[in-house]
Amino acid sequence: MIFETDSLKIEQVEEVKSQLLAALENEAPMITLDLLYVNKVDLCIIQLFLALQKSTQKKNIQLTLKNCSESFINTLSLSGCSDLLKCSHE
Amino acid sequence: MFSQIFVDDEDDMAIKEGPQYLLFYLQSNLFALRGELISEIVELPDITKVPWMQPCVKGICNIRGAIVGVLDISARLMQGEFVQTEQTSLIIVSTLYDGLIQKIGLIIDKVYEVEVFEAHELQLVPNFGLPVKSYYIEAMLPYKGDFIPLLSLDKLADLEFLSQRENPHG
Amino acid sequence: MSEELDYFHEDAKEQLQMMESALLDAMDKGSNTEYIGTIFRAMHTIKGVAGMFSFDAIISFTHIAENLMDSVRNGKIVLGENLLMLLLECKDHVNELVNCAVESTDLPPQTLEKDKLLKSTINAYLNNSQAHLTPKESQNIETPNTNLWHISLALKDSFFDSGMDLISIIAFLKRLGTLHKVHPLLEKLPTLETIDPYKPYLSFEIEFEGDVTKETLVEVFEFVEDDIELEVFSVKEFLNTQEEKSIEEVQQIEVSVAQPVESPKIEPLKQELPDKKVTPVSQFLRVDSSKIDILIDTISEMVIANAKINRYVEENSAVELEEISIELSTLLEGLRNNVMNIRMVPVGESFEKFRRVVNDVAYRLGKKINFVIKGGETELDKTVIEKIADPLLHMLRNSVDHGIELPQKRVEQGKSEYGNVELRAYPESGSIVIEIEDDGKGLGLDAILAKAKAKGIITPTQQLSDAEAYKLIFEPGFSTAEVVSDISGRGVGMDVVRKNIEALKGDVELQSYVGKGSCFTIRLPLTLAIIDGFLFQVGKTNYIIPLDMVSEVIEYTQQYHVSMKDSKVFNLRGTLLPFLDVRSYYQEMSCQVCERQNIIVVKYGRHKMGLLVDELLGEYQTVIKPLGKLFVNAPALYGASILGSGEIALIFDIPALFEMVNIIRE
Repeated sequence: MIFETDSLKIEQVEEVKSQLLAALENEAPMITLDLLYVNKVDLCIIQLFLALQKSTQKKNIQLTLKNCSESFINTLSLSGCSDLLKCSHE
Repeated sequence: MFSQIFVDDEDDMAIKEGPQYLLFYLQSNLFALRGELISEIVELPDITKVPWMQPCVKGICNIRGAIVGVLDISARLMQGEFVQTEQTSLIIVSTLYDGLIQKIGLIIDKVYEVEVFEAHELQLVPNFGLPVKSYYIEAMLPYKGDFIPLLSLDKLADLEFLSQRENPHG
Repeated sequence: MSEELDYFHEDAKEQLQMMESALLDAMDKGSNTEYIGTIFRAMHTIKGVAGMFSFDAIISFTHIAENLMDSVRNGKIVLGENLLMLLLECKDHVNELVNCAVESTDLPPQTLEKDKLLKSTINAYLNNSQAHLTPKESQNIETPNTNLWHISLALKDSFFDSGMDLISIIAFLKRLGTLHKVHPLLEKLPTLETIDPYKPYLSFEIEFEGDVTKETLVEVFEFVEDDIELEVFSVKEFLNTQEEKSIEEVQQIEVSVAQPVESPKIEPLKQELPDKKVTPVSQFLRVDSSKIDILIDTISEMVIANAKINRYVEENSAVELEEISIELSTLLEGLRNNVMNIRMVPVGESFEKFRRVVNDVAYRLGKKINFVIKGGETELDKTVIEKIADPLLHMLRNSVDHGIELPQKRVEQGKSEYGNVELRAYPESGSIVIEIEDDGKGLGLDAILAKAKAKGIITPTQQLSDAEAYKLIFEPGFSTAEVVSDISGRGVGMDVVRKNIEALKGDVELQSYVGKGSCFTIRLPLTLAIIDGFLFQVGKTNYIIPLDMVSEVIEYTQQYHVSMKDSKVFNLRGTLLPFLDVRSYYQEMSCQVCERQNIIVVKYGRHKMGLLVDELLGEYQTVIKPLGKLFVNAPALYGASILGSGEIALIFDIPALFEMVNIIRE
């Protein structure tokens, strides 16, 4: 799943949630969020990703965040969440 | 994912390209005003007189909750006052004064038509044979073998001049 | 401008205003720790918030200013008069920096120059204070320890509504020192299926190291203080006091965020709490005033709609509907009052700003002033307050410059060395009165008349009443200053003052006694938008007078007729009052249906007059609509109002009417 906006914030949280829910219902063994274009996120979105992580862990789905930008990773580390979410640069 | 696609609906209406003009009667003469200046045309409402104004400033009226000054342009342009009939109408125009948009109502005797004229059709104002002073006329519009004077709103609704009061007590 | 930036601007202005008040108070009453604290906090808070926006010029300047104030706070530098003046300059300078930052313009060269100058002056103060320290004192200086802090923070449900992102706050925190650890607690976080995405579920434990005070750390979170539960511990102190407790207990306390920890040893930390309370939370709810205007318009449309219901009720004698309509009227009345109250603001805040000017002017002229503000709680329409500020400022300057004598001269005349200038506001029958009174040298009528004659404002033979003579000082070109000073200008002021006040539908009067002082009295309408009016008819036209200005209504009878014949005055229980036949004055058609005529006695300030009118229609709550530019010269008319029937009523401008009638009598 790819996000095509520069910033993912509270304004988009409802929409992102419904997309993530849809991805969960697919019952695929793995969900990958492609964050190539995303530079700005806020705590609201990070919280949502963490909630997704809780869901995927329950269902034994693997969650990966790929193509994470430096600013995204920086934001994650400021919020102390970089160890919690699995990020990759590719 | 968040990109939206706009489908352009290109229904082309085949009409004459150009600005619209309102043609109307004052007494028995046809005149025109630029359509872009007109915000609406209503039936002549009740007018409340404001004291000490010039004879062509009739007072104020209520246009959907807003106070609008009313100008008798027959009186301003020609002799005599307007005579109210079933067809008497009020054209609401917007004019800029002191940096503020002011709405003014112009009393006309009868709406005739809305017509489109292209810019090149506008003619110079002649010096003679006009129903009103050439000062008030911006251009002439060729219409059905005749020429209709296009009134200048700036000259017609010159608020600087019209706001001067006539003090009956000296 | 983004909302955050707007907030920053508003907050900075407020901080600077408080700093100025504190500085001026310190000048008047001598410095104390409260004032010093306020000044320090202003610089400190602005620095902190500027940091979130990376406004480097502000940060670097406020940093030095904050150091200076810190030294003052620690008693290393005495807050004397010179330093107070310097700090006032600093305040102005920061204001300048803030404005540039908010408008994102480059600093103009003179501001850069000023920046340098002020910084070097401050540094000189700071260096001096270091040099003078005795070894003993230097031991007392709290060298800031590298401190380990623990911050616990839980997000309240309202957090995401605050519009602030915690991450940028943490990013700011990082600039103050080292972030050792940010640990989010996910226990409360539900799964994606059940999450309410707008509700925060997280809390954080942050370990931070930096040479900062607890206060600083608390202020980092000031913008969201209502939306979080925050606890800040110094880890060292915490461990010291808690060392005998088991680790379990420690964890318990960490978790019980924001709950008072009942350990006496933690008292030193808690003592800062009342101090923090003083830190002002912004008192503004910024609402675009056009939104309020729309509300008022809507309410007035509802009032009109309700009047239509009333008419229907009368025509169809629908009793049940009548009750509903009455209830609706009451509700609308309440709603209108509440909406109007939004526009009303106490004048005090605006008045406080004048103290600075009065002090500045007095300082420059070598005069001593005791400036008193009274009635600051009096409320006035915000638009009116904004528009009256400049005229008031000018008049205050004038009082200090021309009114108050030099200290020596005052002593010679047996007055106190300090000149008294009082600015006061109070309500009076539908108007607000603002007075500026001084106990200076006053203005003699003879002097005014002589001057006016010399300047050709009146002819040498012209006879004037006292009130008219005092009015002369508001004429263009009139100035009583013997020497034109750079402070009150060249007599171009007072006529502009009068014009501005009249544009607000107010008026201004002067009373003065030689050697005793002067008093300017300004009367302003409460609001520019809605009035309670008294509705009546003259000829075919409806008119409204503001209800507060109606003194009484009497039926017109023969007894008045005699005394009124040509004199344009009438006899009201022995008092002769000016009298105006509105119908003939406004050339209304006579109205055949109304047999009775009435006299409405109107009052304004100390004046009264009678208006001869036709039918009385009673009280009417009305929305004032402007007549528009076409009618700027309409005689003594304020605006118009649309009645329930859709008809229009003209609203009388009573002050202007008094003026006009006076003209006619001459």
